[in-house]
Amino acid sequence: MRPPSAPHALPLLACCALAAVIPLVPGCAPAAKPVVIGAKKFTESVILAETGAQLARHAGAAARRDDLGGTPALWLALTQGDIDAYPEYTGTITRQILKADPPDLAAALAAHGVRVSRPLGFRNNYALGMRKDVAAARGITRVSDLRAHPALRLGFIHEFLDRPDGWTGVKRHYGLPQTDVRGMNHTLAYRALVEGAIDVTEVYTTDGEIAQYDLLVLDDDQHFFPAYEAVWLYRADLGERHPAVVDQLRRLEGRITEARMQRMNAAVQADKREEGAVAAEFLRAELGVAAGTSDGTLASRVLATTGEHLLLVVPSLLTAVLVAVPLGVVAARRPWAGRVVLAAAGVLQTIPSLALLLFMIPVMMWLVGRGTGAPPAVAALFLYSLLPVVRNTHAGLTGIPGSLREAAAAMGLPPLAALWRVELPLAAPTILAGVRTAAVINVGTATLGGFIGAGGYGRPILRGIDKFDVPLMLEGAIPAAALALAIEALFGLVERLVARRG
Amino acid sequence: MFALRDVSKGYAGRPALGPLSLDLPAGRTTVLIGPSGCGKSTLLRLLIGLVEPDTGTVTFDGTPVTPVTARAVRLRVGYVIQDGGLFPHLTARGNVTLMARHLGRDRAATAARVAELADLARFPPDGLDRYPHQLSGGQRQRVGLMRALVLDPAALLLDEPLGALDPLVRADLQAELRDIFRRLGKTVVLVTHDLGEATFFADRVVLLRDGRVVQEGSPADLWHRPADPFVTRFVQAQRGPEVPA
Ligand SMILES: Nc1ncnc2c1ncn2[C@@H]1O[C@H](COP(=O)(O)OP(=O)(O)O)[C@@H](O)[C@H]1O
Ligand SMILES: [Mg+2]
Repeated sequence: MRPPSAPHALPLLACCALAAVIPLVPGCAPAAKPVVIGAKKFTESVILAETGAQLARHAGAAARRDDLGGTPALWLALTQGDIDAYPEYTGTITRQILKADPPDLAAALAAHGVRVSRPLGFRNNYALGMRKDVAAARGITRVSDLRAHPALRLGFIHEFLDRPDGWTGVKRHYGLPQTDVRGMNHTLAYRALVEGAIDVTEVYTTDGEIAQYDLLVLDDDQHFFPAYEAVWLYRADLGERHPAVVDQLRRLEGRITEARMQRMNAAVQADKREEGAVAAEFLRAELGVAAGTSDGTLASRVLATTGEHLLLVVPSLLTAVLVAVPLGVVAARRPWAGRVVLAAAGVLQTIPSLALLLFMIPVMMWLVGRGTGAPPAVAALFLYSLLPVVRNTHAGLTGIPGSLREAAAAMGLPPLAALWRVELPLAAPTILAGVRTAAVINVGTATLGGFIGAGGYGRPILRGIDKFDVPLMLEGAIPAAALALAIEALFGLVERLVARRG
Repeated sequence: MFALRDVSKGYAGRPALGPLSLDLPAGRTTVLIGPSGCGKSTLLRLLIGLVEPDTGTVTFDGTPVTPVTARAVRLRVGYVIQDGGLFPHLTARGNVTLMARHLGRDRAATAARVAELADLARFPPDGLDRYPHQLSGGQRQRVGLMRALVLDPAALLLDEPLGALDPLVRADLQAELRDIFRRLGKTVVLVTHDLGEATFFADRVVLLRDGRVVQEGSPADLWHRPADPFVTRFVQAQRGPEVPA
């Protein structure tokens, strides 16, 4: 292949990429900001958020649901205004958010610009659960009975492990001796419990699995676990912007019983039904509200996640190219700088991608004041995309025969002009190959953005893992693979195009 | 036109050239000759400041060639490097006009100059839009020559321009090149290791060995008045054209 000319190749590439993204980005047209109802990454929260989004639409507002991470991410998103409301539990508010038990909860939240609804009706307390036969064999019925069985194997979700109202607190309150304590995903913990790999896990009193697997919920005989009553938290300004939405959300107050919530959870967890459909059914039966789900059709969901994914990939890749090519040039010009730059980029690449992603949360919080969603994901992807481009730019430039560099200098081309008119065009195929590698890595790594609520293909993949819902996992995994292939094809096309014009 | 005074150059402590002093007169064709590795290319590089001398000074038209003045010198000197050095990503025309485009020269004037040079170098006009790898070796050398001449330089340096060509093409090109040199009347410095070729082109020959000038003079001087036994051996090692009178 004939070496293409870089001054044409890179902008051409950028244009192709942008042209591919723009029609896919949802909400590009200027429109009123929709009402966003946040959800934590577990079924109950998603169902409740879904009822919220449907009620908001019933109130006449444009509304959507956004699945973010855990409590801190939701609280941050609410106070920053990324979301307008989300379902929360009173125990979590006092222990984890406010870290205080104020006499007037509403007033304490108002200080943060947040309002709280009256309880929605059910409690979702933490409790410890065991298989009935395992408990019976050891004569365990209450949490205090665990004291006599130090060899029991415990498995909890990571959040529960660290929370003061979680394992640390129970352990101290009851003086529990167990040391075999593992952190795991909630659904996996249920599996492990049922299959006998662990003996005790934490459960929520509304979990569909309690009924599904016929589990024993241990009696909290020394009253450690606080009441976790479900409520809405919403921004104070939502009442001004969309009073009808607040009215609709508050219609749920006192309307959801524990049994009802367990059934809705089981419908999603065990029967693999979609949260939106379950929520819609509840609203129709309980409130006589007929609202569409926010799930949409498969095609529209894939289109939306594709748009989100490209919004992570394209900006991070383009900025990486804009930074990495000059870095590669410096590295090629100055051998000592080259060693430093290549070593630094190499070290970045050895950081596990998830760790880099999580590390970017405080960094971006500090830099741009937004620690959730896309910014930290874009920042991590940017860093991750640097190495292949820097390395290939360096290799492409240092691989140019000395006679050609001498020819350029002998003509009287100054160094910058020689770089632009001769060296970069000659190195362009190698640089392009580096960008291609970076793009494919980027598309794959961007799925991890699902962990921090950045959207994209990672969202259905992670929800699918949470629910053991293979079709939902594939809804993210297949388009991710297709996008990687499409990028390969796009680059192949660009390379051929560039080669043809010389 | 070029003058070297007590110039020496070494690489990594090993002397590559000099110390030597040499004048390259304007309007004449000087041929640098000598076995490979004797410093011929290094000498050409010194002339346009591609390498800096360790000692001594190089002057062009009376001004010293330094890192500051080198660029101005290069714009007035055409250079055809040893293995052609055509840029593979540019067409023949792109190669020839690169410097004119960089300097923002008038397009029409540049196009006219390309046509004129193609005519001078007997390069087929339809070859102008081909890439170097689509041209024959002889055509590539013609493009290299056109590229060196595009800014109408005062001097022309050629480093073994015909080294890689087969004998027939080479003989044709030798004749054409000499004709071109005579017509242009420019200062020409040509490097070769072939005494026949040197004799064919040269007004003056400079014979180098291990970085030193062994003898300089007319071609006939080398044959008839060798300065030392090395010259005799060098001359006798060559087979080729008749001894000039
Ligand atoms: N860039 C360089 N680095 C190290 N040594 C060099 C370099 N260029 C030339 N030399 C050495 O300098 C000497 C003269 O080289 P050169 O001028 O290319 O000879 P010629 O053109 O006569 O064959 C040779 O010994 C060669 O190995
Ligand atoms: Mg040489």
